[in-house]
Amino acid sequence: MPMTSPNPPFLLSVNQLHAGIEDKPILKGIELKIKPGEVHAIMGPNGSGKSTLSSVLAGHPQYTVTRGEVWFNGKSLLEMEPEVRAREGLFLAFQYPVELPGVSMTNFMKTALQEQYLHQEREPLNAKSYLAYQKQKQAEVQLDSRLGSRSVNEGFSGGEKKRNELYQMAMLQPKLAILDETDSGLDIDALKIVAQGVNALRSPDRSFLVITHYQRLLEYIVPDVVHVLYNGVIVQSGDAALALELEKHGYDPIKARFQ
Amino acid sequence: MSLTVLDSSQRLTDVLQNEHRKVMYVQDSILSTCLQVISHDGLPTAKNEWYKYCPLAQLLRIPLTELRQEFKAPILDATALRSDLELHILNGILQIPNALPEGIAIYNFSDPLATPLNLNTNPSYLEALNIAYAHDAYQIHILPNAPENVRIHVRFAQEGQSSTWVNTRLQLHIASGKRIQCVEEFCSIQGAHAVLNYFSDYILHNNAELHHTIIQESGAQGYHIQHRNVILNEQANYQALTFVAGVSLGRFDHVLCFKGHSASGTLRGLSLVNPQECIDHHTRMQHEVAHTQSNQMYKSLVANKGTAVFNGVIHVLPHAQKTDAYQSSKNMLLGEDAQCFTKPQLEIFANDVKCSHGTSTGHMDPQALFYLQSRGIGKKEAQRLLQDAFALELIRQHDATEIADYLEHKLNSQWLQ
Ligand SMILES: Nc1ncnc2c1ncn2[C@@H]1O[C@H](COP(=O)(O)OP(=O)(O)O)[C@@H](O)[C@H]1O
Ligand SMILES: [Mg+2]
Repeated sequence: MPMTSPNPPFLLSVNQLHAGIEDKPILKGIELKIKPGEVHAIMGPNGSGKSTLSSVLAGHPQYTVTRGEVWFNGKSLLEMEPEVRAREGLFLAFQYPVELPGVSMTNFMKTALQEQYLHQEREPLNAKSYLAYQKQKQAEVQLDSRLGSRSVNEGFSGGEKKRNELYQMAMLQPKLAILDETDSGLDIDALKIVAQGVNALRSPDRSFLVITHYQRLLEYIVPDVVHVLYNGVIVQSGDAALALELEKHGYDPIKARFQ
Repeated sequence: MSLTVLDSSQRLTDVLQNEHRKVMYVQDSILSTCLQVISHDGLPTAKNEWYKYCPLAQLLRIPLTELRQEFKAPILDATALRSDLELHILNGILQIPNALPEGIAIYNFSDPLATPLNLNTNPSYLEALNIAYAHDAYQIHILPNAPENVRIHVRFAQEGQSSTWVNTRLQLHIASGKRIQCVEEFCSIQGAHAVLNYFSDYILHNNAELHHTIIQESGAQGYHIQHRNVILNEQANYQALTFVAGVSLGRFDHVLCFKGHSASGTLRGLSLVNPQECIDHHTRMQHEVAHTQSNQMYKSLVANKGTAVFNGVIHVLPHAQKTDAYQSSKNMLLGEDAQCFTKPQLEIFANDVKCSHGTSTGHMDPQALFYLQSRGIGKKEAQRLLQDAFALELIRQHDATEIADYLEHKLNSQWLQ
């Protein structure tokens, strides 16, 4: 197997990915190619495999990949430990972030950043510049600084948890950010903050994979490509207009066509 | 040829008998009761429900030698913990301090000024050994004229190029309305294999308050039997944290007797159990009168092949209405062969009480681990963070920040490297 990607223009290249849990196949041949700077959206009905795809990309040990390969920034992703994927610049904003009682936000983010800098052979931040950096990023995503001194996600509201995911993304500055239904359960104001956070981070060398159930978020984060995932395969891809179409007709026509 | 437990227990008493330092400090009748128990019972085995998971028989397999007086007492390094009175109990013998703060008195039990030892029930085999073959026994009195918030730090250490058995006893009397802080620290001495059979009593008069921290340092190859008995009179308040950072075999009994109304007590316990070690906590909350309150929180982090035991009895007598008692035990298993046995025992004979318990045992949460890893934190470091968080919860509840910091430092330097 070649150790460098045959397709250097892509930041992420997913080829014929099959994965599942125990004996149950969930992803059944995913094809997905994202160039640096692009924003892709994945839509699809509940249970179609959106969270599974994001977990497999992030390296959750619960899922087994049965076939296929994934290239990330020229390296074979599936062979890396989850922490190495993160240090290489992959970030997953979880649909359901876990609470970590007793693990302080500061300690958590400081450790994460330290490990990333070490991996990238960068000079670590000293205590003072770390605090300044943390403060700046909290302001960017409008995370209440009081939350920043608590235990990770403990007692956070749904919206606060989502904002905390964005804060971590802003801190870690990934090359590819996967947002798994970061919009679900948010009111319109919170949604705008999420969109602002994402848009502020858009750059020619940073890509996004925005997973969403509704078109609403895509009014604020305009995607370059929209994919429809159904029953473990991408059944349709198009531009931003595809999202509007799905909004209008719902998923029933898709379900009927690809049943 | 294998010896029966009684035979080997006999060998143990032979060794203890030959020691030339022996203190007779109890009335003849108590002594003869103790000797009877010793000759009749022998060391408790796994058949005894109370010692089911505590492999005390190990103690009989270690070749004991006498603890001779000329054994050099270990010298303890200066401690980072500040106190108003630091006492050293080395090889079971108290090093008499040069001066005592005002309002504090220390006696041997054999001193005519000492309060005589009273046993309400027949002693257990271990207590009988402790009394009959005592190296010494001491009383500390916090008198009404003692300053406020006296901090006492008692440090124990056993020298032992060869294996020894140390029997010692401490009793702390706190006068009405006095509030004190007491740290008992059991230091590890390189190469020491001593068995410590330690009994202590804490008598809190009305409105007295004791903030108690028990620290068992890690690296101790010793065997520790520690039995604490606390008497709480009216409105007395007792708070304890027992931090055990590793010992070959540790058996910790903690008994609280609520004898006066509005008395309250909290026990916290944090055990870090290394491979092959067994740490066994047995507690008993004896609610004897109405309107008393007890709270217990025990946690253990158990390495592979380690064993943690928690057995907690809440006993409420018929007249002890409005008792409020809570107990929880949480264990994190760090390997497939880590073991944990927990048993809450509610014995409630009053009808208007609030008693509850909760227990949880499990491996580290894989979702939590993945969350940390997905941010670039290596697996080992992620596990360390989660263990640290688990352990720190109890340490952070300590009301003396200085002690909490001291324990946090020990946790990080001795366990979670
Ligand atoms: N941990 C799991 N155990 C069993 N089945 C799972 C698990 N995770 C996902 N699945 C199944 O895989 C399918 C896809 O789920 P998921 O990826 O969560 O979908 P989506 O995010 O699109 O709603 C569903 O049928 C779901 O029941
Ligand atoms: Mg999902």
